[in-house]
Amino acid sequence: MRDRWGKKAFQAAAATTILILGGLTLFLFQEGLPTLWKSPYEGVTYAVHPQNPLPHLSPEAVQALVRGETTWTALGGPEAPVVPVYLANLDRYVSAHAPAPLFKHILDSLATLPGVLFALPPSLLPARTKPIDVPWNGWKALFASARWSPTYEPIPSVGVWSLLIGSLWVSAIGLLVVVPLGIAMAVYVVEFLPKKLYYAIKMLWEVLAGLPSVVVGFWGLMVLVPWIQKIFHLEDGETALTAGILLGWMTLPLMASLVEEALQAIPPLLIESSYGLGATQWQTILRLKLPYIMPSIFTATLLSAGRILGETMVVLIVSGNAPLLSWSPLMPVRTLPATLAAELGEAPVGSYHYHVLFFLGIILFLITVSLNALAYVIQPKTRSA
Amino acid sequence: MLSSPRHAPPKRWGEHIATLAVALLSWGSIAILAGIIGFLVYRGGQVLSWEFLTAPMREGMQKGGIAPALVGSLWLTAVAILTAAFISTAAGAYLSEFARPSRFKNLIEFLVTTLAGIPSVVYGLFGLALFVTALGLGASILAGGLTLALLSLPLLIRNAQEAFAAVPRALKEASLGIGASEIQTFFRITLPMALPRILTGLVLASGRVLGETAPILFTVAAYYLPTYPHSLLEPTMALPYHLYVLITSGTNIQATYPMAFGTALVLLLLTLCLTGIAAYLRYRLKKSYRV
Amino acid sequence: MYKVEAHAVSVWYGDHQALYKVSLQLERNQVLALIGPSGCGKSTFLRLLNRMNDFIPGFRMEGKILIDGEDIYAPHVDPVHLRRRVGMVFQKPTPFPFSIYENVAYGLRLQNRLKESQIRERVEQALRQAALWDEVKDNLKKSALALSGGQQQRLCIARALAVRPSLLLMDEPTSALDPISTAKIEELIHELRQTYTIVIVTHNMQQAARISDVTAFFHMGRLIECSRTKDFFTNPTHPETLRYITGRFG
Repeated sequence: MRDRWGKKAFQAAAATTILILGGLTLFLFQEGLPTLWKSPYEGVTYAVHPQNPLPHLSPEAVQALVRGETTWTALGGPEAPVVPVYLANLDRYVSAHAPAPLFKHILDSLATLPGVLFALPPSLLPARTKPIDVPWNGWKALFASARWSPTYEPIPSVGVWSLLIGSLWVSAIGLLVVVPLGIAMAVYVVEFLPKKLYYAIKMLWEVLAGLPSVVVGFWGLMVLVPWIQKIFHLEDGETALTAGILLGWMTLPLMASLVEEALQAIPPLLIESSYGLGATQWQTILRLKLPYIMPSIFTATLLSAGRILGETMVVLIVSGNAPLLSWSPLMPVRTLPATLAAELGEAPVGSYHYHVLFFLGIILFLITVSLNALAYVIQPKTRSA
Repeated sequence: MLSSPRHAPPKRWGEHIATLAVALLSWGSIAILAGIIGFLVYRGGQVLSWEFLTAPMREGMQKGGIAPALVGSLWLTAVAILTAAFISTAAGAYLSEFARPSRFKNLIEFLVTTLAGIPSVVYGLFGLALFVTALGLGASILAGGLTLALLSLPLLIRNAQEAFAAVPRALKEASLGIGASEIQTFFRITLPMALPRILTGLVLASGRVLGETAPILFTVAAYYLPTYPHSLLEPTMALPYHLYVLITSGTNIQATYPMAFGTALVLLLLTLCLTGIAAYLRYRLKKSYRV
Repeated sequence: MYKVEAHAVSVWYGDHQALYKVSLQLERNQVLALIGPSGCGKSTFLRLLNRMNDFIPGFRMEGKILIDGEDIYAPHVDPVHLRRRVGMVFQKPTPFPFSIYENVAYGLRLQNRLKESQIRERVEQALRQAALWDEVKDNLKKSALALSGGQQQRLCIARALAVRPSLLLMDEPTSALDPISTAKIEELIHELRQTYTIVIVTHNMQQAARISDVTAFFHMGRLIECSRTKDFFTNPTHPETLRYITGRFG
């Protein structure tokens, strides 16, 4: 009887993994999903001059008007200069410390301008204005734009594509480094490394895997960034390439040890069969061993991709951190995790920015979990084959 | 394992070049590791002193030492590893010793693998939402330590599972055979025999935890707080975050570089010691079981 | 000239001596069966003939082995070339995880000299020789792993034959097979004797009696007796051989 309860306790400990993953998923989604239906300007009413004929404005139009990228006329509105008035630029017109009557007077006179565009809490809005609808579509804002400017007033841009593409660049370069290098290293260790050095090199892998990423990033900043700058004659060496190289290198122990394990697991008789047919050592490696472990190489690549995608600090330090759509590996980029690390500290809990960052967390979570789950699912099959 | 043939075969130049290439790539990658360590030892060594290790930062982090960050990191690591040690050992024991093959066991093993692949920054988000906000711990050593504990659980569970599985079955059966219950056998035979490996895993994990930055960014780390924590509910500085601050957002980055090199060196040496010790122990243990 | 000659061959693995001054001769187009209890050195001897022992750490040998009159352990001999002349089949079927066709073509492609049409021809020829062609000719693209155990072993024989060796080594080729597949392989060995010289290790005395021309009995690293199979089983000269073949052995 006591035995049974003892076992229950152990089972409960194992079940904490369910709690953790469950809790993790729950909190991520709870904080991130509101991005899809909450608008970043809740509690703010948009209003225009009563004679402004436009029935509604899209958020993009508002952004363009504020940025001066379009005019009322172009949108079919009045022929008048745009006068945006929102909380963050209110002090341009009136000091926050102005006495209340003056404050109200100035807002009222702003309301008489035909090109005015208010984005204010209803309590501050002058009476003689026409409210205008600015419908928000969370999906569109996230996925139909590449501009990432999540604190821009009055409407932030939260297009995730520049970040996704940044992550893609860094991962692609990282994989280009780690896959061939990891395979080469594993082949070297299994085929050519003197036995005496085997444990030494495994220890070095362990040390490499345990290197704090912020230290690697610092070294990258001090040494690799200037090199890249010189080699490619760039203004700045902080690029996707720099981050990708470092991340690929950091992931070597994972890739190499998985490939090594697979190489060691090839049945010896199979290897002898190859030699028995007159294959040389390299013919056996290239024509038998590597094709044989191809499924394991694929799994190892998936796991490495997950690791590279999630790595934060190195990218934050050496990739230039510019949330721009980049078409070349020699441009600065910003990845999903780097964005989280850089911005979450400044985003007030519960704000739209905060929710968007958690939404990025969901994306990152889903990508890495599916990579790992895929690797897990295909792994046992390849072993039994 | 098949080694190369005894007699030198006729020269096959292609094969020699290929061998040379993989050797160079392998040792080249290792050389970068040596390069990083050497670079930091050289540049950081000039800053390292007793004062650097024991004094708080001064003058906009350009002078003084790193003691508050060092102490904070040690606190965080201790909280994380102590918490994770119990859960992971029990969970590992369950998976290796008590669980019959079942859907539940498969599920747990799948989750351990999945959790291991989740980026540390996502754990940071989770820690922020759960410990800091929902449980109201605020940015504190406890919140950060627990976040780091969650992060290290998958590694530690797998380590414990392997440690228990490596205890020879015959010993367990001998104990069961003289009438000990499964739980008694576990505490008297299996656990003591697996303990060296479990401890090795804990040392290794503390090395990893000590170097983690992303999970503590929002859960504990203070930008500048040159005092020592009095309780687990206070925020603290930590070495990796301090280094990050010094190199990216200090008030005068050029002037803080010497401090950054010193911090990086201390952090590197601490993690090197921990991972080095653990790796050495682990491969010695592996060897001793194999022979 | 003999096909295979061994002159006072001794083998060590580290400090352990595995063979003691073994000498024997084998004529062309004959089947030699090596029998004896496990650990007696019969496999070691077999693996000397295509220098597979070279891979084992601590391997050392004395004496001479000649194939077609050539010392195969002479310094100038390339073991890779030797293995193209001396084919080998193992205890268990060892199909590579490729298609049937690619398995048989594997050894041919290693030499990089043949055109694809020639390879196709040689693959068909080898599969016919191994009596597998009719069973697989419509499925050459299928994975070799999908074949039955006996088919897989015949595939491995075809793979060895495709490179046109002059000597074929078989290391307990039927030990992992059912009786029907075993019978097929034995029949095949009968056929192959027309063209090849075969050395086969077997743990099964009946098999040795059925398929071989010459039988060699190894015990504790020594060659106890080697004679024509007829005489070997009916009229052994050595008491230990008699004890072994009558089953009164440890």
